[in-house]
Amino acid sequence: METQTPFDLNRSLEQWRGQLAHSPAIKRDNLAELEVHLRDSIAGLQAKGLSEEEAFVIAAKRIGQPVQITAEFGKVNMAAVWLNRLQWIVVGGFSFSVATIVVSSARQLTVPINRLTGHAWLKGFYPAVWLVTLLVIGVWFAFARWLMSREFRRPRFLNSPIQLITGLAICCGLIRLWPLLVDFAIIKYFAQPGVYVGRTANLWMVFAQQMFFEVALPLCLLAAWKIRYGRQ
Amino acid sequence: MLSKELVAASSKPLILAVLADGESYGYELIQRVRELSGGEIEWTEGMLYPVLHRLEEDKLIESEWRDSDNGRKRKYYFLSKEGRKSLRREREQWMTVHQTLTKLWKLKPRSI
Repeated sequence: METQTPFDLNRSLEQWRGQLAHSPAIKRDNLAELEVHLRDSIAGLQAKGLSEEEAFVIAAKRIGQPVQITAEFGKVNMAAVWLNRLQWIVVGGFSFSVATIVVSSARQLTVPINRLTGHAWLKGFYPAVWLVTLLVIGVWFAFARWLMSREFRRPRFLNSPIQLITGLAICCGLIRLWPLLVDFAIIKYFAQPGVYVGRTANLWMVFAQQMFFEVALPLCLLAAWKIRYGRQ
Repeated sequence: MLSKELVAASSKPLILAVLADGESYGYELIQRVRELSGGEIEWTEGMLYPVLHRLEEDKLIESEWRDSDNGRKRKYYFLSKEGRKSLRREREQWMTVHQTLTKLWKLKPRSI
């Protein structure tokens, strides 16, 4: 005879919740409401003589498939769904800029190394640059995979796209700012007056562009989506 | 059994009409509609909530989390002033359809 594991209602409820909590279309309040419904439904079916397990299976079926439910909630919570998508776009853009900075620093590293060793064999250092690029992309994918895995419950701040995007925008700004600060420091303490002025002006232009695409644009899109779909 | 389209179209007046009788929560609302329709109107239960939330956004109903008799917290919905007006309009429209069909089918009972 097969050994049957006894049915654990709390574990089943936990699993059921997990399937829905994963979706940005379902807010905490929505999930709480659905769970109360499921519990009511289970109690009602048990009162009719069904076992706890049977009641759970039927009640869950009556509530509907998680895919169906999330799709329907998504229509009402459109803003949340799009904010979530935008959040991942911004996270992607942010990671890309981090990767760019890491790669360019790796390239810059070859200069002192060549100078120290007296060899030009590290000239360009391209294999390493590409290795770093691949590594960064790999780490990013692993991170994203982990973040999106079903079992993992996202920390609160990841459920608030506004906080996250603002945070990322500030991080992006700071990361983009440091080459400018280094440049400033060089002008102020090491270089002859006037030598770097042209380059700095150019860097500020690049910085302004970066801020527009990485900070201002996502925040404007965010505001636009909120105005368009925040109410409806 | 009602068709999918008719279930979708009738959910708004049904919800408003049940709530006109007094406040209620999702599970009770579904039970009531099932009972009154003799089991003919079957909603996929989870689908009720997005409809309720849309009605709430349209200010036709209001909601509040409250402790129930058995200690379980439930979200209760009740009709707003605007909801009552909307229900009246819905009622007129559904009655128009109903009366028209009744007349038509009474005129030609054999052709159904």
